[in-house]
Amino acid sequence: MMTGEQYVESLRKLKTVVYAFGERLDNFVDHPLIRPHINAAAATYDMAHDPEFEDLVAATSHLTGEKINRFTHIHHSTDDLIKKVKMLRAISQRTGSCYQRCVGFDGINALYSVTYEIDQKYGTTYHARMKDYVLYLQKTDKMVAGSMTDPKGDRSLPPGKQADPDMYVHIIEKNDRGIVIRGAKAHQTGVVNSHEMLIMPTIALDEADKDYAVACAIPVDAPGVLHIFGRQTNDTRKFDEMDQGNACYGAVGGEALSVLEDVFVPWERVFMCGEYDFAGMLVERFASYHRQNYGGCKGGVSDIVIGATTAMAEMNGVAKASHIRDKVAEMIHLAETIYCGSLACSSQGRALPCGSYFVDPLLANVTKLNVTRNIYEISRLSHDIAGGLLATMPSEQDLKHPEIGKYVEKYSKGITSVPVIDRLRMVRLLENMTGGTALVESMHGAGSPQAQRVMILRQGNLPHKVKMAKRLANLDKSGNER
Amino acid sequence: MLKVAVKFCGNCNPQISVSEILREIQEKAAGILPGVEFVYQGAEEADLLLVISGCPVDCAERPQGISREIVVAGESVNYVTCGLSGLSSQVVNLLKNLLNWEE
Ligand SMILES: Cc1cc2nc3c(=O)[nH]c(=O)nc-3n(C[C@H](O)[C@H](O)[C@H](O)COP(=O)(O)OP(=O)(O)OC[C@H]3O[C@@H](n4cnc5c(N)ncnc54)[C@H](O)[C@@H]3O)c2cc1C
Repeated sequence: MMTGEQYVESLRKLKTVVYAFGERLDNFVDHPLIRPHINAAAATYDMAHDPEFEDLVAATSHLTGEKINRFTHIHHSTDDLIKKVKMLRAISQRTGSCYQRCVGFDGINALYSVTYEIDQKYGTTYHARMKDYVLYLQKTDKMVAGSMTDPKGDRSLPPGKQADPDMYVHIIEKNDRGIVIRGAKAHQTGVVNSHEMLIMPTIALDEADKDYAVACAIPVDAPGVLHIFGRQTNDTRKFDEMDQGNACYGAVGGEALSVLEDVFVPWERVFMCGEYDFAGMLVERFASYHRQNYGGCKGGVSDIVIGATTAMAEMNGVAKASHIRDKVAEMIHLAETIYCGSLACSSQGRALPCGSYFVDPLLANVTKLNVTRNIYEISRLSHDIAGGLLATMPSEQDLKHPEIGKYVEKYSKGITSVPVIDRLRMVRLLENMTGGTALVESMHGAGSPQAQRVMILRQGNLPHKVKMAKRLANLDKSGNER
Repeated sequence: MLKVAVKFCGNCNPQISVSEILREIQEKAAGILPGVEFVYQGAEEADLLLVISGCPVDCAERPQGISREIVVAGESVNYVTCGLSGLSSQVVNLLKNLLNWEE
């Protein structure tokens, strides 16, 4: 297992091509835009070595029996699934932001089982390759970006009917050494500071779109790959200190658009190549594992939002007001509700044909759908309690200004026992965690709400519900009163 | 001599600071129980397991091979509630009894 420092140093050895603000970055590792996200990912490495957290952040490999970082583990029990959720809450409580490794973690777990099932049907050897790849990840402790989302162009059209065929990643060549792929993956969490990208299709496919049924792994610095770092709300504040809010770990995961311009992939790293009938299964497995996470990671992030909100109420002198206590209770209720969902879908997990474990997909989707609402509501309540300063606070430079600094200081005071600087830092932390980019992640990360509703309807066992209602209403089989 | 292997639960949402409790236990034990050694690794060779879980769920995984354990889980020791301030003293008392028993 790597330490955080080893992880950071390992990134320096890569030749990752990263662009931001119209420039190619020579040293992305120390760049203020990206470094906070690297620090957050580094926490996942350090915590696996920390006796306080290792019970969750480290695991035992089912392949070698050795101790590994849990982010490279394949779940083999409901206990593994539960520990994943608990681990995510623990890390979020430390970073207050996304530490990015869950996407690749969910990708390897989804592909581990789906490759087995493809092999069962077609006699292919993808599962053995996937096992080798998992072994490689466990040995090297490399960080994997989970690369599913395609740019998608016109959403009403399937991949092959798009005006530009590159709107979805596709195979443009096959030869005896491997395949060549082209396209792009959008919104890639942590990709610039990962070692590998795990490419997967983004939707269910039919035969006409066979060439889009591709899953494979590539190094993030493979020839033909370049990453364009996405802007976040208030990202130029990353060049300041106090105004960042969470200067060490940033906000969300540091997403990028990753362009794949004719990238060669050797056969050893190809895990699906044309088996279009398994694309839907892969998307559903991945999405369910990924939706499982959100009550863990967003539960932990919410713990900090609730803490910051309560601290603000204390600093403003309103902490004891009954409506404030009521709202804080509501925030806790909302946070624990999503955590309940994540634990529930994990405890109701089941074995798959290959022996690995899968969450209950209905409960996982319900969890993520709740996240798309509850996090907004938690943020709304935090804004209510914290006050308008959240939107209007003067800058760090004005606070430190030799002439006007005294006014910022004087008129930003809350209760007398709290230094102004503490109150202002808390405002910035809350602003950073509850606005703009941070909120959108809860909406669209792991799929938009409608994607969860589709899965909920499919898994919801409606005919059974109708049957039970008819029995109690005393209807016979034809629907008439008995 | 009593070798005590320390095991934490992993701290998903702790109600107590587990590192703080361990520090208190170590400080109190240092004066009166010189024969106690706390270790994080090599639990298989330890005489006793000291589990410190952040909440009453106590989900810490137990290493194999140690049958005797003292469990701090939230504000309880061996599942008896003793309040935050009483945790470390209660653990040290139990260690003291064990040492006397050993002698
Ligand atoms: C912060 C963040 C991090 C992310 N990280 C990753 C990552 O690491 N890896 C990764 O692969 N992806 C990642 N994603 C992508 C995420 O999964 C997508 O944003 C999500 O699936 C929605 O896709 P989209 O953004 O293209 O929006 P769209 O698909 O355009 O959705 C916009 C709206 O259109 C609706 N819609 C879309 N298609 C149709 C249709 N055919 N018919 C009717 N309605 C439709 C949707 O329901 C939604 O309401 C991340 C996203 C965010 C915001």
